[in-house]
Amino acid sequence: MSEIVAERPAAAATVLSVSSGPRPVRRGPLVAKIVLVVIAALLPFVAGRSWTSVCVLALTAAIGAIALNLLVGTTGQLSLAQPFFLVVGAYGYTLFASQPVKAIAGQSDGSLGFHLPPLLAAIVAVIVAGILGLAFSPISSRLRGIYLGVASLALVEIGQHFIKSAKNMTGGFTGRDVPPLNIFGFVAKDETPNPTFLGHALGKSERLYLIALLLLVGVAWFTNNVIHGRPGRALQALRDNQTSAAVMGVDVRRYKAMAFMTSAMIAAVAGVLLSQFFGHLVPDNWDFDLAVSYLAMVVIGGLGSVSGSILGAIFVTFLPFVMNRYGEHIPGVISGSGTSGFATPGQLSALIFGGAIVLLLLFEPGGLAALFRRIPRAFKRA
Amino acid sequence: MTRTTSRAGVALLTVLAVGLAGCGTEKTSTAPAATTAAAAPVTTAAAGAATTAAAATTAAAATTAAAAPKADLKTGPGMSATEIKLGVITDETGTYAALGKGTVQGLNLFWDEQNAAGGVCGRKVTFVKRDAGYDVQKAVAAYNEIKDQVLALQQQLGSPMTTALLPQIDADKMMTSPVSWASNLLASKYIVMAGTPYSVEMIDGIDFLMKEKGLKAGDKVGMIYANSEYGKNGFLGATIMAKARGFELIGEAVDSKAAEATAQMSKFKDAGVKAVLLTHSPKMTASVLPWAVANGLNVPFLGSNPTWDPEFLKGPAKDALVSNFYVAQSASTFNDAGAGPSKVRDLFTKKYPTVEPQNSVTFGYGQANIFFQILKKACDLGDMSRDGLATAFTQMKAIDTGGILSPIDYSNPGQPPAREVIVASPDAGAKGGLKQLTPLFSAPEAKAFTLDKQAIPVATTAAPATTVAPTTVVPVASS
Repeated sequence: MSEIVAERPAAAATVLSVSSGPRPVRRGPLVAKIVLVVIAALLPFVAGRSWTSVCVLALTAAIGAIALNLLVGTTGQLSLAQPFFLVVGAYGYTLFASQPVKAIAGQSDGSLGFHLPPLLAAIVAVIVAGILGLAFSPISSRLRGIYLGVASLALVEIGQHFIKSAKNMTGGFTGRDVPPLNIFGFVAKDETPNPTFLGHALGKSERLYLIALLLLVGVAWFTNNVIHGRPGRALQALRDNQTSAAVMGVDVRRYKAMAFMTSAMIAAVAGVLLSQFFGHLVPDNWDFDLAVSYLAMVVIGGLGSVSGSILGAIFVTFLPFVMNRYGEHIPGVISGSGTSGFATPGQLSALIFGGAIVLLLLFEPGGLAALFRRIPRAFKRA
Repeated sequence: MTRTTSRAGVALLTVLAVGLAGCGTEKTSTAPAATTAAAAPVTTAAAGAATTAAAATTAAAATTAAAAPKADLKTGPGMSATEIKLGVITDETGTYAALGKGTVQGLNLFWDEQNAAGGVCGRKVTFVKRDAGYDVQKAVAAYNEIKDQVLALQQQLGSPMTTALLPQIDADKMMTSPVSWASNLLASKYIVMAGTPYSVEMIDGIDFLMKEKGLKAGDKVGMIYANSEYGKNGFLGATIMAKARGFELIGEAVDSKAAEATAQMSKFKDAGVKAVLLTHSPKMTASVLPWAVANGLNVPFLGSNPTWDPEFLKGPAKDALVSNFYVAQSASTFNDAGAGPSKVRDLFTKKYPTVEPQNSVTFGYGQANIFFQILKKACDLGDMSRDGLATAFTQMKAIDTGGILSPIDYSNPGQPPAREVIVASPDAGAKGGLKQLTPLFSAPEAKAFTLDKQAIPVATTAAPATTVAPTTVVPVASS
């Protein structure tokens, strides 16, 4: 993995700074963080409704990207199996929370379901993802780099096959409705009429946004602690040099298996949220393309960084929507029913997306996270 | 640790910034000012958007708009006294970008013409268009973004995306015209399917092969169908015909993203098939036809309407793709000499003189026409709320699109609204790339076809072929 290390002096520096003494207690930034989270939580109520569901998607993607970054960035284990664990979270939750048989026009469709309380169903789905992640450990703990990437692709295919053929569990091509998540009476669904909060409707999207934000804060806090604690140092050590890590007493296979399992469980949390976002699951979403887009989030955001994962997820998720909505005002972009211009808004967003990856890899391999770190430094110098 | 903290801070700041950028505009658009027109991308050349926006209020406030032509007209979201906003969720960058662009051009042609003639219900129609790139996640997010701004969805491209949205479409009572002919969508009373479902399309197409291309009872017929709702639909049509006409069908389900089927084709060749049916992607068509030519499998190929892509005529394998290929579809071709298609062609040449025409332009025009007639009916009934549109839709009987689409009849909900197709073959000389071989027609089996959820055979995902011998009784739909 030396080539990855060489590209990331910043991450190596983080390891040094972490291992060079006890953590200083700094209250100021913690207060700032809390204030920011509160402001983020109020966002859908002070602003309009139409972007809330895109925000939900971005927060969900951020959780999934943190999961993948723990593997790819921190442990140096390339994984393309992200869609599989999202599937386990999404379809697992749906299977555990649904009524056993749904009646269509008086006839049962024979679908399975355990009818667990939604919160319990979500927890069970996440645990199942952990077990499946651990079951993959004979492979995930032996392979590394591109070899694991290729091997993990098999999981994506298995997931696709499962969704399409296990009709009584997944609904096959026509898909399956997802029961709304219910966290101690806070149900993620629309009511008629919706209650209002600060003059704005507290509907399904807003509720999901709050749940997703809460989970993202929890996942970010947890992952940050893992990365900067003893396990994180072990993972980074075996990413940088497996042999020397083993010499220093890191149980290589055990740590790799644990990293894979933890990542799988966090991805399943994102999967549960995605199922809520969709409301109805269809097979066509959970394919190789999804694995690539998560990998893009991690690379754009910055390998090995929690905040980088969040930034990358926001960038990748928002770009097409922002372009679709405002791209027409950019000169040279095809607008409306016209035909003059070099690209449609969608094509422009694909161009920016590809360009961003190339430019970041060339000039700032640390990703958006490293780019943003420069801003305060630039201020200090000035 | 400073680094980590500031990173997290910056991340959250970005969430805020992006969110505010998006939602902030939403806020400004609630003011009845000309900014509305600048904020929301509306796509109609004819509409004087800036002037109409001055009178525009929010969707919610529009329900009480007094300046409507009919004083007691009930209105829905996305409507003002002078404007009706319709959503278009299409594909301009994904797998079906060619289809998406063509249909949207067709929509524009129709509504430009109609707006110039006064619009509908005294209001001009404008679009709120989003490119979902044939991605379920993007389509669902785009739907949620625009659902409160529009009265109905003039277009929603793709079977998987529309299927994922069905529960929301029902909950929001969102009248939706899909670019998809999958019969599972007919379960929703808010779906306005503009044409013949894939199953019926295949029935008619096989009828053509038997009448014109020498296919007869006792022959063997190979079929490659996608491992998806779409493929399953086409296969259902083929099984019905195999049973009714007594030929042997060798069905092979192939993953919907696969781009080759060499093993299956070899099998067909060894079995001595007399025709091959395709309900798969254009990529599959581009791969199996050259294989057939190279390996001497000289039999007719019949494809469902999405199997064709005009790009075929530009590639090096052009000759192989042209020689034995027929496509069945329920919209007339762009090149058809009939009055309706000719009009579309004239409008297109005027508006898009430099653009190479797609066949789907004609379909888009017809799709818009159907929506127009429903809106007009709702206006006549004095209720243009979403409920009113649904009521108007149930009262629609036969819709005539002037020979552009198969005759449409919505009076039997849940059943195919159209049963006729045309058959066309590739022709580099024809505009749009397809030469129409037949007028609209339907086979007796197509006329008798009824959709019964329980009768749809389970698509096999495993390798073994599903062979339907003439003697085998398959539990399929009957009249």
